Amino acid sequence: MIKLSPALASQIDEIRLRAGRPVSLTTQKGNLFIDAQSRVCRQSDAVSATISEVSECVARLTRSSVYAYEECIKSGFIPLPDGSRAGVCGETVCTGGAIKSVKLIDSVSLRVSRFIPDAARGVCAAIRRELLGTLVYSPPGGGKTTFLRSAAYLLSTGREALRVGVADEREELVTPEMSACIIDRVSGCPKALAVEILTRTMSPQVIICDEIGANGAEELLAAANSGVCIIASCHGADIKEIMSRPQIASLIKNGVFRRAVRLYRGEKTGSELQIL
Amino acid sequence: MKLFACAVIVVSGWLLGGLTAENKKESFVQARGILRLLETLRAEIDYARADLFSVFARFSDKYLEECGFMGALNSGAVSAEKAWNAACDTLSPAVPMLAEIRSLGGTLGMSDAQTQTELISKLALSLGPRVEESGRELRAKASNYRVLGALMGCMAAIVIY
Repeated sequence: MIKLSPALASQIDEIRLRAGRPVSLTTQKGNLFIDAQSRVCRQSDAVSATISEVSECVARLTRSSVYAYEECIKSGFIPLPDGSRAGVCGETVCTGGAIKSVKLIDSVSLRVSRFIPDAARGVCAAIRRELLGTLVYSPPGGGKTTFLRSAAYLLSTGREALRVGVADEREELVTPEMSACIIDRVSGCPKALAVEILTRTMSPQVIICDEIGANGAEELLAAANSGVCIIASCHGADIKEIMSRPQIASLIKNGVFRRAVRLYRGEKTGSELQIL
Repeated sequence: MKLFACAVIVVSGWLLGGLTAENKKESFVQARGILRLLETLRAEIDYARADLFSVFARFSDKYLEECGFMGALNSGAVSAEKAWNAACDTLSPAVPMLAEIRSLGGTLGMSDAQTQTELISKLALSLGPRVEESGRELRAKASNYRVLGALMGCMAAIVIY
């Protein structure tokens, strides 16, 4: 068991355990390694996790019920009750090009969940003025999920609270801090299905979903055509890069997204609102 | 007065026989509780993919609680296997198929839903008839003990009378 100092713990974005390989900490300053005395050290002196420690970690994350997270594990994550998630990978069993099961998990990435209520305040004010679809983008680890959580929280609370539907495929957008919000959430199923359910049954004013990709573009377009404002995120460093993905480009061309928010972390921190 | 005393002795013998049979009930009621728990687990895993500890926390059985089985399951252990093994230690050694029940612990929570429900169903299917048989034996034993108690009461009454 390694005990981290509070100063170091506050900087950590991820804790990565790998069986037989060094334990690393992801921070804004880069990947750090620690020794058995919990001091930052060189990679060669870093402490390693054993396979039984990784297995115990998985047992704790799944509350000793791997079957309950079978589909999530196949997709590479385990959702946690506080809205955060752990990434997992290892040896898989494939049939017909699809993962049938994960027979051994030997890497775990524990993502530190952050709820920053004001992260999306400026953008939410603009969304409230005019309900236009907004695409949030940044490279991985840029704070998109934190931003979407904040947007869900800010838009669904207060005197002018909106009905917010959250398509929470990875069960990380709604946190216990949002208990007072008027949020309807569909979790644990593919985004496309969640967006369809929300649009058809919950009449939301805003739908929020994380990491859009090839799947779900049709459902997002249908929801936008029904008058729902879509706020979604995707990976990308700039709009040109994002436009190279046909599904997202088609959503932008069809007017699902009229605004974009570029998130920055590191040297330049903050968000930049762009009109598409 | 003598007649009344004789009647009391016969009835007491019958009741004493019943009480002796009651003591033999422990293993049967525990096995029946385990069977119910297995059926609940199978259904909860199959339908809701509920995690083991939440099923253990919601499950209620008077006899499994009395013997400490449920307490051991809900003691806050990290591993379901450890909790299950500790819980099995609280069961009466006369519970049918105790070794098989104990060995289920090694597979709990470690496989996919289909394999997990199959393992639980397999144990439940083998345990079910044994519990039924044990119930039948218990009822027969209870009846025999009562008759024996009553007969002894009769003999004592004859001697006294």
